[in-house]
Amino acid sequence: MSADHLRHSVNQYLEELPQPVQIRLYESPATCLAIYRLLPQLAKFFMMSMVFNENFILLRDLDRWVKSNGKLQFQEAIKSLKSLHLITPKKNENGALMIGLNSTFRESFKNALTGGQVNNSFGVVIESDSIAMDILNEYSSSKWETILHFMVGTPMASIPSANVLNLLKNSRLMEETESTAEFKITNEGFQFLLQEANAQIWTLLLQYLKMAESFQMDPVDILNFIFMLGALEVGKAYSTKELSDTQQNMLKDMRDYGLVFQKNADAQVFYPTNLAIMLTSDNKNIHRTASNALDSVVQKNKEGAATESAGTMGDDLDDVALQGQPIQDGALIVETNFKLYSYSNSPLQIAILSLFVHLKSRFANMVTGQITRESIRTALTNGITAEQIIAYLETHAHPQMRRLAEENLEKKLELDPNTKDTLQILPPTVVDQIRLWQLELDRVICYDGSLYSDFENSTEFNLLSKYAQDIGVLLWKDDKKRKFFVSKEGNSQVLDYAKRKLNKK
Amino acid sequence: MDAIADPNFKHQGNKPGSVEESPSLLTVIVDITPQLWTEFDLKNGKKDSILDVLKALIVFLNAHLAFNTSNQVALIAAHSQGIKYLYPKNKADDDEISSKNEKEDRDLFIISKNMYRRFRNVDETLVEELYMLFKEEEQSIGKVTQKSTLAGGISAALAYTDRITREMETISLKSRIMVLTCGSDKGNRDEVFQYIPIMNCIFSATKIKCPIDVVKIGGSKESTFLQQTTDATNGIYLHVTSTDGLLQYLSTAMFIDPSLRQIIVKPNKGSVDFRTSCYLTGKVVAVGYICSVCLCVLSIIPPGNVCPACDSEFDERVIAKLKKKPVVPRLTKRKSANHVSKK
Amino acid sequence: MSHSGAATFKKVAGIITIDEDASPAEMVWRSTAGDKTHTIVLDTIDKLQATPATSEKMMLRLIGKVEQHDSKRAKTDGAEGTPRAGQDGSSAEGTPAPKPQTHMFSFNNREVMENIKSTLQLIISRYKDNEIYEEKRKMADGTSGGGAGGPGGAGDDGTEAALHETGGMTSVLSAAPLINTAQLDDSLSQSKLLANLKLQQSLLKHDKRLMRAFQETVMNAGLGPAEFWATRVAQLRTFALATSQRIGPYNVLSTIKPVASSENKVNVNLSREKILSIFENYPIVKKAYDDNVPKNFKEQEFWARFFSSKLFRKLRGEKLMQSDRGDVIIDRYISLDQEYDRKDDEALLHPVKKFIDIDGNEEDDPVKFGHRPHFTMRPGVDVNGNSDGTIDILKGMNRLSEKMVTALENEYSRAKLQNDAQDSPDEEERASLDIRDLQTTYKADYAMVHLNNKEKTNQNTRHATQQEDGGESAQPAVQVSSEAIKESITTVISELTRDLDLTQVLPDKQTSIDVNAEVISAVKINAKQAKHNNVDQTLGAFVNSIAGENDAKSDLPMELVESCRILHSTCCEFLKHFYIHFQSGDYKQALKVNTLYKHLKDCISKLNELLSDVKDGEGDEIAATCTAYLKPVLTSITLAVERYDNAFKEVNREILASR
Repeated sequence: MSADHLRHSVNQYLEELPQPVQIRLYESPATCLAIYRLLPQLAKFFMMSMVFNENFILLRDLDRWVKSNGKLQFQEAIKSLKSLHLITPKKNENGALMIGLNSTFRESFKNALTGGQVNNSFGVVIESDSIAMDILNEYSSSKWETILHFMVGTPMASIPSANVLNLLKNSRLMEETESTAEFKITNEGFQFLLQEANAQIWTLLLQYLKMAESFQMDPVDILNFIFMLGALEVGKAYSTKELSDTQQNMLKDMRDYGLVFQKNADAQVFYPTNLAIMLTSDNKNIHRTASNALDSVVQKNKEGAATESAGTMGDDLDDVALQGQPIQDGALIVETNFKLYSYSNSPLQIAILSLFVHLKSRFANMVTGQITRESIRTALTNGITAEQIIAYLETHAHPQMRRLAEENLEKKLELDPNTKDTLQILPPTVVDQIRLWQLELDRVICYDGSLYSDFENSTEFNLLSKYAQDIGVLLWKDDKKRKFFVSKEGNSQVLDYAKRKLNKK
Repeated sequence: MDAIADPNFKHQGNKPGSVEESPSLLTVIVDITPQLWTEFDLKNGKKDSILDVLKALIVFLNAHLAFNTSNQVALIAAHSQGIKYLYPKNKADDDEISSKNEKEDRDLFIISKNMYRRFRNVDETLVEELYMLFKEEEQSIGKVTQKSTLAGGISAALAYTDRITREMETISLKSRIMVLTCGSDKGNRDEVFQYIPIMNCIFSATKIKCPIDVVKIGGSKESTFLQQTTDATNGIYLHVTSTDGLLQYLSTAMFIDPSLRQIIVKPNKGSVDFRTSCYLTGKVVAVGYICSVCLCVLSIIPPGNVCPACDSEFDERVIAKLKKKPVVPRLTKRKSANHVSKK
Repeated sequence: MSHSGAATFKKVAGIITIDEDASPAEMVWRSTAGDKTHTIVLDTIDKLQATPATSEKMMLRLIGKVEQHDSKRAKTDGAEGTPRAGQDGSSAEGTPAPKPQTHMFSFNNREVMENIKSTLQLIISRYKDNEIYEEKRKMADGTSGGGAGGPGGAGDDGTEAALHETGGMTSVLSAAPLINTAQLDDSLSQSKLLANLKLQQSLLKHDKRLMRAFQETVMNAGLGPAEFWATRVAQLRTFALATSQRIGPYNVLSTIKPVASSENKVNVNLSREKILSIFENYPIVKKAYDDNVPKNFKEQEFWARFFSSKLFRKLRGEKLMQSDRGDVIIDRYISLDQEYDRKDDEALLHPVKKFIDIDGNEEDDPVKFGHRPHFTMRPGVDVNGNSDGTIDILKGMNRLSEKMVTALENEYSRAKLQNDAQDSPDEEERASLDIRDLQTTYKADYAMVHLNNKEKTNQNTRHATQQEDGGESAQPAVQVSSEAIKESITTVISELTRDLDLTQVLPDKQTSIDVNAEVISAVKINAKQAKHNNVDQTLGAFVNSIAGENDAKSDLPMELVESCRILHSTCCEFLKHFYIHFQSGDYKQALKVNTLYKHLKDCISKLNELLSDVKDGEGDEIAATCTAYLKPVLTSITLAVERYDNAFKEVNREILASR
């Protein structure tokens, strides 16, 4: 859920950029690669089939690739490609719709894949310089955790730098109480805490982008820099010479968030940290939340130091295949009786859990608690949604729970290959109950959207309502009164369809 | 509880029909046996097609890595003397052969320096290992070649796939295997003898739900067993006549991620020949004999009444029954007259 | 329920007793003083009326029948089993001239009255149903031979009706089985099956397609029936087994589902078989039936009583509640049933080995030494130690199961045949008593199959393959010299040490267009297919979603398809038989092979005839389709004929040469 959410919010930002800005973005291969990865699966497939083919191809041919059960995904893929202006439509001599890849993007992406002209967008490595991994990790974890701890309100010595505070305030994650000038966490802040690390970083960075615009900074430069950070290799030194002025400025801010490390403010090199890598990686990869990532990194380093093998950390990403996945810190188990056990020691993790769990006791390596109506209601009134809680629990579920759920699903599939059941990692009772507790609060749900009514005949009504249903935007309909309601996002599609279909007649 | 059945409630839950974004592992087995490729070159009047293939393959691997940040690749080479893991590198070999220094030296100029690091790390290793491999091949020119080692490569790939998917259980890694082979006449003949190992691979692959795709370059259009492999494992079979535009083939027909297989139409051509081959003669058989112990298929009754594959002895009586001559009326002088007259 | 209670009749206090033992049942009122009695025979009562619960008065009125037939008929509609007191007036008005006899009782206790009322209701409605049934039957007898018994109107009057209808069927089913089921193994042997003409006939009647094949091949084309059946022994055997199946004893009563009808009555449908099997399974019911029918009540009434009795519920395996209403007469048999059960138990008793006999070790029973198990440990017993009947039910069910098993032992005697052959029962018993839990678990044993490396076989195959190559491959094999290989390796190596420019591999424009077009065209074809087939993801196979789509569409007219089909199956039939004998190696079959060979030749001419007919009659296009249909079978037959000819020449070479 929140991975999608992240994807969605980044994509949305990119989609809203004016077309010239987008095109300028595509000049950087690193940015192209990162944007490519943000696309829906099917769109990625289509893109790849077009990258090496300079011609326009029939849209109908693309449609042929997709079986009837994937039409929804097809729509979604084409829509996302269109809104990012990655494809340009054209009519061929027969009037059939052809599409071609944006040529700037094609060139950059081709270069990214083949290592052609990449314009240093993947950074310039300085081979002679290097840095120990543990310094990097300690640095990034201390910076990032300071921010999170500050938000949760853990009493501590260090306070994040002024511009971080400014960012938090501007993104309304925290607000300054007027009387005491103290910072207080907001509803959004609570939601923020439950997100995955990379989503958190992105939330801040998107806010950063918005702020930067007001300082007349070029968003293309900023985005390029962000995407580049994600494509760098941890532990290598990168030159700052190739960076634009804007990007040089950004370095300082990035340092404050713990994304990069510099030995001193004027150094000619910088070192990306693990947090930076997370920018473009999926949450499913390696670590789930910042604190986990950092904790486990710290732990690993301790072990590494002990065995004097810290040097191997360098190709962590590639080597991960060869090691067993360690059970992540903070893995939690939820029982059907609403009891929760979390194997975690980090105060941050515990603080986050306590947002919606009634914690009871704490042991050397775990805390236990109970999910109660009261605890959930407190969370809900803090602005955290049931879905967020569930998503959090799901992503942090202990591998054991995941395995059990997978086994169950497999068994079900064996019995009935057409079963519609999905993976149920958490006990359904708990999930349902949390949702019910939320429903207690909001008995009315508001949707933005449009009401279609006054149809001339039922065929028209059926045609449109069926279409709306098929593309999954129908929220409500009444066959008798010939009215239906469509969500805001889907309205334009339905409208298009209506124009096409109804005008013909 | 009624609230749960409420449509709004569901709507929040999950959007309908989204494809799960899960990372995948791509294991490529490439047949680099120099003899095959040289033969291919001679026939098509080309030079060094193998290089084109390898380059296209490297870009293809990059493309797979680009598809998802957590995607993994592995490359296994089947060569004239056996198989070799090209990526990930076999660590044990590493220590023996190259000292660190030498590697560092070579490290930086083969693949463009500014390439995305993750691509570059993979590609450098690949080129390095390929270099080693061809050096070895140079030594073994003229040696007896092992019968095509493709099946061995597939088994190794399956073993690797299984291990990685188990290790990466928490991120529910999916997997697929791609076989890239050169179809020469000789290769075709050899393939016949790999029926049993390939069959075994098919069973394992279906068990771990790993599709096997096949690209065959040159040679005849059909490849009975490899086609059967793709058919049984939900994979794609592709025959390419030349190495031109190989990359385009790879980036379209061969780029179907396991998570997309549900909704994508496979670009398979023609129908699959489901027949098997005779163990002894290599002929493709539709009706034949089969050993009840090892299921080896024969088109003739084997000499010595012994299964040529597993040495099981066959029952005399059964063999005798099989060898029975057809029954036709024997003509005596008088009867033959009848017979003919009847006609 | 109470069958007696205080009531006032004609202002004299007294007691009402209902006597169900009498037939027909009676209600007797006796004054407290004992001097006055008033007897009402209940089957003369037409209506029952009572003051509603809301009313102060508590009165019960019984209205007798009027002897006139039509008036009664006219009133059948209104005569519900539970007339409401509210209808008092109206129903009285409806009654025509001869005033029916009425009896009025008043009560001083609502509960007593309700009880009496409901008992009376039950009895009266039972008699009524009876009457209606009789009447219907009279009418039915008058018109037709007795087919349609009206829709299971009341009580269980479906019984008899069903009896008539199913009569025919039963006779078929219960007719002597086509095989001797007592000696199953023997009767299923091939020779017996082939000799069993009756069985074959009935299979043909049963299977139309087989019948057609039989007609074509045996009757029309002259294949011997023995030949025909010899290849179908398995089919015969299955059929024999399937038709000789009989329904064994089973829990009949649980399959009887009383259906509540609109008129506050319960309907039960019973067929003759059901009744018979009830008698068979529950001797107690038979006894009750024999005792009471027709002495005390008619069959109708018996079943009606039975289904409302406690006995029924007990036999069905339901819990008996204290408050359940039963049937006075039938329920007497409950105690008798226990007697039967005991007898059953004895009959079914398996002698328990001393070794594992818990009862035999009673001296060691800890319970005997003072402590009764806690009531939670005693199944079916509540806190007060009263049995709730669960145990009885369980026992009853077990008894039934045991009976089923024993009943089967005498049927289909396979087990017995096998047992005889086996070692002595002692052996078996000892084996079953062996304690094996400490033995090592059985380890799956795999046979090693050593697959030979191909080296060994290569010698003898190389020859073969090379021969083949010479014949097949049109392209001359390219000989690759080791120099050429060496050269290519060196270039590769040198390339690998230089800068590797990956951008080179990008296909040029035209190639990528071509490639793309090629891939898309394949997708196009497959996409069309994908629409028609639902691919089952797990099986990886095509699954036809709609059952009706099995038949492919055909342009041919139906009759033609049909004749193609018949001809095809006939040809296959002959081919099959031909090869069986041809390959049998038995020279005695030679003549038969010869005849079959001739049949095959006939087939060829028939096929050609059909094809040419079609060509003349229907035009080229249809002829082409038709040929496509029949081509494979024609080829196979030609091949068979050829093989025969060759073998014939081979065997008789000398004689033919000498000629």
